[in-house]
Amino acid sequence: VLPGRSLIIAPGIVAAALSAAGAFDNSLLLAMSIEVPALVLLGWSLAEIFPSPRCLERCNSGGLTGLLLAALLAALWMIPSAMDWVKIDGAMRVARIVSLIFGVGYALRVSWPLAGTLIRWAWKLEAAGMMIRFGIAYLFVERTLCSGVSSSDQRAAGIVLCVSGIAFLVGFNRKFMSPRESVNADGS
Amino acid sequence: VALAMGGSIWKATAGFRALALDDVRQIEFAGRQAPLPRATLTADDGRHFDIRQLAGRVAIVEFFYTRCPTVCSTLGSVLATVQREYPDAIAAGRLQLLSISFDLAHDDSVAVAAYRRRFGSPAGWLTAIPDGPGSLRALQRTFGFLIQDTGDITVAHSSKLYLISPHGVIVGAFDADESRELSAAVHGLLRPVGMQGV
Repeated sequence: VLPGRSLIIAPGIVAAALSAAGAFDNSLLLAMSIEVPALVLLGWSLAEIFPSPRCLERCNSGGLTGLLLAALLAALWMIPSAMDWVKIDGAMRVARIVSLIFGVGYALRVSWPLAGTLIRWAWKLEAAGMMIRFGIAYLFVERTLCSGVSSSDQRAAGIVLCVSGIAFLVGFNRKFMSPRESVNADGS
Repeated sequence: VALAMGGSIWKATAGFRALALDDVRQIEFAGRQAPLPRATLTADDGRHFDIRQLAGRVAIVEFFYTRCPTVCSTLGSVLATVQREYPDAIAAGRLQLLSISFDLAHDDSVAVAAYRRRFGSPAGWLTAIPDGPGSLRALQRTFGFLIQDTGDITVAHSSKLYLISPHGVIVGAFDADESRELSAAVHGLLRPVGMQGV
């Protein structure tokens, strides 16, 4: 089992180390296309190796708490001011890395199987919407939103987010339209 | 979870009104005054002082580095304009201008003093360097200003002028093109009687 996962875990650990060293500080594009996905995937993989304790499952009824946490944390760390605050405060940098791994990736993996179809659809819609919203903000705000990030890099990150959001939405709609998905209303 | 995370997002965007940290801090300073941090500096005359000693007079603080090829000169020009607008307050010690270099590796007392001389009279205008990274970090956290090494000789950094009230709290942050608003705010703070310099 581990060799397959190590393909995800190893880059995730490298991304966490690079993130701790501030390697993504000057590029929104790298942060959005490599850092955040790698950290989230690392958390997702860790959840498969270390399942959540039962006490956590009790306060994660229907996966709602975990999915809400994941969505809001992801949104928080896409806000430019929060990303800049990380550059000033070392504790915030640690909080960002840990929360993207465990608050988003891990929480998503342990909550997804518990969630019903409706909650999953709502989460996917919100995730796609969030990517497109931030993508549009990065694209169309005339000034640079993060310190040390060039406007061309910000626009590129905006395009990546918009394209990812639209791709996510299209993929979701395909599943939504498929009869198999709509029949399985129990979330299985 | 919703309340805690929603509160964090609310704070990070100053109530969904801004996305960039500079703007968020600007809104925060206008609404909720932030006291000056404990941070010691070395002035261009070699004197050590705590930035909280600015309390008792109106002050304008800016952050710069002497090798800056762009915005620092603009901020310095704004300070020079304010200096010319309020000669009486400067002479009475009721208005203090303070330029703080954040380039601990390259700037020293001599360099920052030479930088100030580019803009004319030294009256009421002090240049200083933080006494080490600890003081610099304390200033960064309170003022919310960023320093970002861009890889070449330039350094991306926040370009605000911070207004300090006689109570030693930051009451506003202004862009270089907001000199008129800054001057009006200084005028408003200088107007009350009984604020003699320390």
